[in-house]
Amino acid sequence: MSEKKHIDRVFQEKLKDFEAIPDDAVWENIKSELEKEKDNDKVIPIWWRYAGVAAVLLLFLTIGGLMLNDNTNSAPEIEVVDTENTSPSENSDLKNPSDAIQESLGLELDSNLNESVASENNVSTQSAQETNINNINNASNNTPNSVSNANNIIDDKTNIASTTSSNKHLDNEALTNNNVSPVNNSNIESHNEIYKSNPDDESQISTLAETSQKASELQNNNENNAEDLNDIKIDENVIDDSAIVIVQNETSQDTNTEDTTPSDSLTIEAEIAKIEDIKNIIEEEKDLNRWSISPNVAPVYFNSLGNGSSIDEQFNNNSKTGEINMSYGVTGSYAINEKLVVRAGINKVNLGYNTNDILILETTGKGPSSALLSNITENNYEDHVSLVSARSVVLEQNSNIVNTSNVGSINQTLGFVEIPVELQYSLLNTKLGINVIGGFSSFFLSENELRSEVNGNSTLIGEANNVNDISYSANFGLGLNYNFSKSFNFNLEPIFKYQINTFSNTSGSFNPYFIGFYTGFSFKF
Amino acid sequence: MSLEQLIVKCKKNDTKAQGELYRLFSSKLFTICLKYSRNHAEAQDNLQDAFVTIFKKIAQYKGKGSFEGWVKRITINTALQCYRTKGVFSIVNEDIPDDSVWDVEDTDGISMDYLLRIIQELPDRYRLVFNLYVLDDYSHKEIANMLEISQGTSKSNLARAREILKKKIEVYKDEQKLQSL
Repeated sequence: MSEKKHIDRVFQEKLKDFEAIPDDAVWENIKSELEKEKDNDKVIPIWWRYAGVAAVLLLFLTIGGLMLNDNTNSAPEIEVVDTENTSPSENSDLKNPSDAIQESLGLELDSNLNESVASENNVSTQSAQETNINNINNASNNTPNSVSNANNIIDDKTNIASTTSSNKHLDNEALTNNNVSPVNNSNIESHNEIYKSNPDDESQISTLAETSQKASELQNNNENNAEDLNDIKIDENVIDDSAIVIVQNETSQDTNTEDTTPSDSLTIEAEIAKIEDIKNIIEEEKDLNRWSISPNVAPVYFNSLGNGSSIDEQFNNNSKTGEINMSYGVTGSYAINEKLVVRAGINKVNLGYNTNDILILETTGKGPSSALLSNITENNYEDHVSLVSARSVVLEQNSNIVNTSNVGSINQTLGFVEIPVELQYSLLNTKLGINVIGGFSSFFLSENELRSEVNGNSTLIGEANNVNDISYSANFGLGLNYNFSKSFNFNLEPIFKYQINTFSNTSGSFNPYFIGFYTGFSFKF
Repeated sequence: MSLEQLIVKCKKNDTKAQGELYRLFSSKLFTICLKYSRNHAEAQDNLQDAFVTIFKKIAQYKGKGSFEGWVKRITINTALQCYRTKGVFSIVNEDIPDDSVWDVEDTDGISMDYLLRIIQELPDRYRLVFNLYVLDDYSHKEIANMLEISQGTSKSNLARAREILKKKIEVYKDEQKLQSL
């Protein structure tokens, strides 16, 4: 009855076979928790989804960019059209002084004009005026300019009615152009330039005018070039009388203006050349493919500068060997101009290194390792590993104590999602291009593992708790590319990335970096 | 299906296999949770957390040692984790009485439910140390390491736990005697 028992035994015996069944709800909760975990495991696919979204965005931007480019191209195109227009309008401008001549001459040669116009035969009138040309040529210098001017005047003379009417049209066009598009500034410029060239004409015309003894009137009229439009109106009035004739001559206007173009082009050659240059520049700019997308793969070598350890102080002087891992990703870029490119991307990168000469002791039960290595969170419930630097043991004690079969290394593996933002400056831009690259990357930690490796056996120790979830790097590199075509090239970019803020608690001077040889193809559009 | 096959399938996140593994071990592990927790509800919460951890870490089980031992360790660790974060091990009491005072008389009539209840009623730190040392065969050294306390604290906490439990058993017996009269 009064048998005495140690209280521990009472509990041990009574509770030995005790089993209780939990509520069914517990399993349901576990299931839903595990499903949540599965969703969390899809973190990387989510990143890929983000990458997909980024790619789609890039695509839209590109299409947008292309359309914008089209717009900017269409604007210069208008310019191009206008410069073409300006040549006839230049003609008109050129003729404006001659219009004045026409006016002045027209007043005197009205009867001749009417006759010539009425004859509807330009050739005959031209032949009639060829005599004038000869006269003028005799009187004037024999320079081509003067000849062309003379021709102008003659053409104008022969076609007073038609040219004035065409001038009217052209100038009206020019007017409307002036009103409509800002691009017509170029017109104004070319007008001005033509006006600048007018003084020559003035003198030439004046010499011509001297022969026709109309110097004063001509000069007055030339001075009134700015008021050409008014002059045209006057012309209109003047020609109103012969309106019927104009209508008849309108058929010949085109040929006449075409005829005048080459002669004008002699005087405007320089201007046209300038315009052509502008056109070329515009076209070159149009040809520059601003957007590009480049998938890339890179072997990356990770190591650190200085003596130190990210794991524990006792490993500061242990030798460390970097590992070569892979990085893969995609980069999108935008060319600000021919030299400068801004680019951003997304890469998945794994980095790893080994700390060598570690004495690894496996123990069952909770060992003292976690207390010793504060930077490691042990997450294995089965095996407990004690890590001691073999160097210190060998130094402090008889080396026979250390069983070399237990000496191995600690392998630290880190995985990141990297978002680089870089600038690329082109040094050489031929078939083989050379660039310098600089920028920074943001790193988002995705994998974190510490393993012990002894004689080829790898055992998971746990994870490092001193790795920051978000860290950065400063990037410097050199880019080499070979252009297969305007829109397709091969890249090789050795880039050095100096990591900042990767570890929050390191001992010694542990400055991690990695070097990647990024290779890939670029598609420009 | 053998336990090995079940484990392999669980490593592949097979929900059906996970369900089977749960049925196989839930009652054993729930008992542990009940002993280490204050009450039934807390025990269920701990069991849930323990199983989630087991399924998450099952890939790390390499077949060394018994699987049951592995899941029990995870369950105990899960239970301890909840108190570790609450920091209940701050008080140190070093006076430890002699071992002979812990003998109790005539315990046949004491029900298992009552014993479990008085364990759950113990202050957290006493309960954990008592469970680890008495029911799960951990040494004071191991307990000290697991709970991040000194071995002395572990020993004194155990003594306190025994003291309280002994008193409660004696009260219980007295009540039974009174009832039988």
